[in-house]
Amino acid sequence: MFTRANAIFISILLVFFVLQEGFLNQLHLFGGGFSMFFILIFVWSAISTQESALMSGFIAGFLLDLAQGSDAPVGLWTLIMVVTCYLVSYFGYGDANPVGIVAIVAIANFAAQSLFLTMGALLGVQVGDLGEVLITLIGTTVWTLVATPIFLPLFTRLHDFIMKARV
Amino acid sequence: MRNGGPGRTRLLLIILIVTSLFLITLNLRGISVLDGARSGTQSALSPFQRAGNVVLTPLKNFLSDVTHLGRTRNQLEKLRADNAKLKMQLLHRKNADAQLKQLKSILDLAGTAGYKIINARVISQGASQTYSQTVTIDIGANAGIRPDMTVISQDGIAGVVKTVHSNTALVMLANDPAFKIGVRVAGTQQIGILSGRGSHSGTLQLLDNQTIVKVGDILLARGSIANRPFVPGVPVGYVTALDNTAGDIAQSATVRFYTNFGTLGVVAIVLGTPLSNPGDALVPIKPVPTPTPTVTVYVTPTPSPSATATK
Repeated sequence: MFTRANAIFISILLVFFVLQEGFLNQLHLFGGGFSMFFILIFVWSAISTQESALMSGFIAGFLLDLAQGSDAPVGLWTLIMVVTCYLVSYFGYGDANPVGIVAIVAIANFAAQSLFLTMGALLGVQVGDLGEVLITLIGTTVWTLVATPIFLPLFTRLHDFIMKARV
Repeated sequence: MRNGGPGRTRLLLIILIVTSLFLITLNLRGISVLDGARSGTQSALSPFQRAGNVVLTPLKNFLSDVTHLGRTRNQLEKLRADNAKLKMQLLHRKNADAQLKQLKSILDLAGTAGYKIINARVISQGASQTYSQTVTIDIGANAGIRPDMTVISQDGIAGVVKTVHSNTALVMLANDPAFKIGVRVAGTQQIGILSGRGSHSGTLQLLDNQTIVKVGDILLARGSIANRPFVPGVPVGYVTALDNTAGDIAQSATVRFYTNFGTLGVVAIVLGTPLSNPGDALVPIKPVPTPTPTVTVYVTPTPSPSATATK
């Protein structure tokens, strides 16, 4: 099942992951900023099949687990991304309306982080002050709402390009 | 990635969720199977993070300034206040250094003559509207200061104590128009009266018509009875010009005071003198002039081309 399209997609995922971790995370925008990596994954999941979304979510979550600096156990992000990407694909697949995709991506971003906070708290992860958590949660959602329309055309074209390259 | 139907998707979903839960369980049970991968990922990311830090720092600072505009302004105000405070401290320090230098020179002067002195700080200058040249010092009767005591600076005579209060005293400066002091030309016994003129110069009136002074002569305080108001031997000034007016009974001259009255920060009041007169011991050492080299250039004119052509 490992096709050339998958290889290209994983490469792109890695590039965006490095871009996010190396550069965008350091900007420290007000309200937490946005994650281009999250937007890519959720846009991808929204316009892909459920199977593709699951695999993308799994790889993305695994990368997040490897890179994150918190005390959350390895696998938590993997689980969250698998579930979120599946739901994004379930609700978003076949929706060609960009506004709908943007809304789904923003909601997915909010849901993924909420899940991480909730499950992390249950697993004993210190999440900090509630006010700060809420600001970050809402802030990142708003940032995602703003940034997704900017990146959506690029990610859609990338998706089309890779799907054409599938073997 | 092919869509293999709902059953296959559900199976994949279950497999992935179970895998995730398995990873979480392993991690929570302390079996760190992915620690190596985690540290490897961090190592692989660190060069990018460093590069990102270098590249994005200016942008980050700009964004931080924009988002924290109010805080930045407050910080700026605080820094300005700190800067002003530090400047003031530096000024005080410079002032203290200058006063220290003056004090050291005064001590040298007093030490050479064997005067018993007490130091005082100049705390105010007299108002120019009064047309008198006075300063107020920060010690008075409580420190043993009495009227008609000699006040010296690092360079020589500064003035005389005029009025004494419990903790302050008013000093009449030597350039005050009402100031008069008996002086002696250093190296001789020629005497005269020096009067202030309200400027940096004073007028010397010699007492003996047989006496002749010349420009550059140094004047020292002659001393008074019981050393009050003036102790002997204190440098006063030097002759800068001679006033040879026809018909004058005795010669007069313009004298430049050694003390710079405009920069008086610390002075000393002479409380006592040694039994012996210091004589010319306090005569300032004349500065050795630095020779200025003169360059002479000899120009030899070259023959003009036209003159050469005619030959």
